[in-house]
Amino acid sequence: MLKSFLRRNTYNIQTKFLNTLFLRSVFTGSTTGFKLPLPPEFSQIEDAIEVFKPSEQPASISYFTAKPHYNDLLIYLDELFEKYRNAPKLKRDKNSPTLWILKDHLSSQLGLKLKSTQYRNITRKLNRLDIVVPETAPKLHDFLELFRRIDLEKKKKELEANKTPNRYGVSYAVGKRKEAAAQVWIVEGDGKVFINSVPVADYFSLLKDRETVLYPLNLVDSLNKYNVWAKVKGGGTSGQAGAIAHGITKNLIIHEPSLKPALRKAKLVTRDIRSVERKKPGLAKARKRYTWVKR
Amino acid sequence: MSEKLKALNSLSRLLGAPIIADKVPSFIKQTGTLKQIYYTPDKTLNNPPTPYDLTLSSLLSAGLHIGHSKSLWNPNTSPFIFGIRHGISIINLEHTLIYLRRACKVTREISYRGGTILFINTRGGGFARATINAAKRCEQFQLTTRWLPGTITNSQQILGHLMPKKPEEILPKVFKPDLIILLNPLENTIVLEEAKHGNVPTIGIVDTDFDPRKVSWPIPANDDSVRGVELIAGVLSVAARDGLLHRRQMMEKMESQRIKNRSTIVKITSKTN
Repeated sequence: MLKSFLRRNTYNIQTKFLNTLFLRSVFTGSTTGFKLPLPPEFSQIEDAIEVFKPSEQPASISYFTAKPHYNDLLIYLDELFEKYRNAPKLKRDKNSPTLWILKDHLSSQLGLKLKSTQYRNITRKLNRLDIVVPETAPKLHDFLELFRRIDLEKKKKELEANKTPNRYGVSYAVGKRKEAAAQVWIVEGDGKVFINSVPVADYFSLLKDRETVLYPLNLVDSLNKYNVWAKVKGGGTSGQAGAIAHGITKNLIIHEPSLKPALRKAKLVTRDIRSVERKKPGLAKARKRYTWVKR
Repeated sequence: MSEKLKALNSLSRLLGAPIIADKVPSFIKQTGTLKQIYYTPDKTLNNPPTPYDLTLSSLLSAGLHIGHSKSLWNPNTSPFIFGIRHGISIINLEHTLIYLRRACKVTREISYRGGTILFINTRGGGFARATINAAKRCEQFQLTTRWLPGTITNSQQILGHLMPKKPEEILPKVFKPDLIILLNPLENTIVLEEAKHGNVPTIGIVDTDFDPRKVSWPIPANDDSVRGVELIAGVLSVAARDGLLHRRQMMEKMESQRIKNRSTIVKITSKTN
């Protein structure tokens, strides 16, 4: 999409000045005071046709840079900046910078191999244009939309932050720990906890695992206030227990956001990223070394 | 007051200068001197003068007479130096004007014959803006980034990938400029070497520390002043645009003649039939 836009644009840069030509003025010499006399070779039109054949020229103004599309894009962005120089502008917010498509993606879109400095030049110019108030320059922002990126991670987080229990009072969240993933539903109720259609006591034989599962509810004194329905897959016993606990905390935060600081202090909110460390070459396991031999 | 304004305005119209509004609100009393805008910073950038409108005073105000320190001079520039002041060589603007007009004639003729003109200035910023505007004005080409060595002498490798190769061709089509206008030749000696090898004529702004014989058509002037380079690039581009317009006019004229001839032939043949 960007490539086709660029091609269209390089053509426009060339033909823009064609429309403003006033050809008659060349012969009358009114604007420039200059009148080229017909050289003797053009007494017969057939002779002149050779010279006046439409000469083949490169399409892009930046042909001799060997990077015509990139340089034409920069020229176009500079043109836009000049055009909107006196337009009303917003103050740049350093804390939330606009997200532009990443270098690799932009390179493939433009059909070029962009270096970091080249990418930075483009984004710097885009940032200058992004400041213009969108209401006053809708076309400009339509053009800038081609370069914008949606940060999926950030969007996900925003969506999560805006979650609320549904009309039946049920909230849903996913908890993960160490290869185990748990889908957890919570609703106001007695204090029943079912995991894979089985009560907690039956699913987890170890007391320790049961405690980890119920710890978030214990902490907030709401053991008898919520019913929990969990579906867990992957990992081992303690991993699954941790995943369910993570899911429960997320659900509690959806129900009552004010509980978040307390849960965070108890280190229940963060997804525990600790996982099995990889084996390294020259070692028996991740850390275990082979027996040291003197000779 | 209105008569004075009218006289001023008629003079401004002749010169192409800005005109003061005739209607002034009644509560504003015009006292003192009349404020007239004679100069705006982007005037030469967007509306450069033609080679015939150039005056020595406009060259002087652009700072084209200021050369380099006398200790850094190139003795081959001695014919262009007016004198030395405060240890700086001063370029004779009469020579500048003559050489600039000569360069304008060259560009005009090359543009008239459909040649490709390449404006080069590698210093960036205001210089880059001037060269890009110059290239746009006459539909020619610009280079404001580093000149890739081999653009002329090794063009297949450097520029070969830009045009898709047709199946009947052995090698992809590659273009060579018919004229190179170098606005900072001191930093681009490679360009001049390649032009020499590729038989490409060059126009260059030659300051007092640069040998004017390296360039086909030198313009003795200051290459450090942005305003000066804007003026020179603008004037050359206006000359190139003149040539382009004239070329288009000629092509239209010839096309109409061709159509006329064809129609008369058809008439004759139909009559005989």
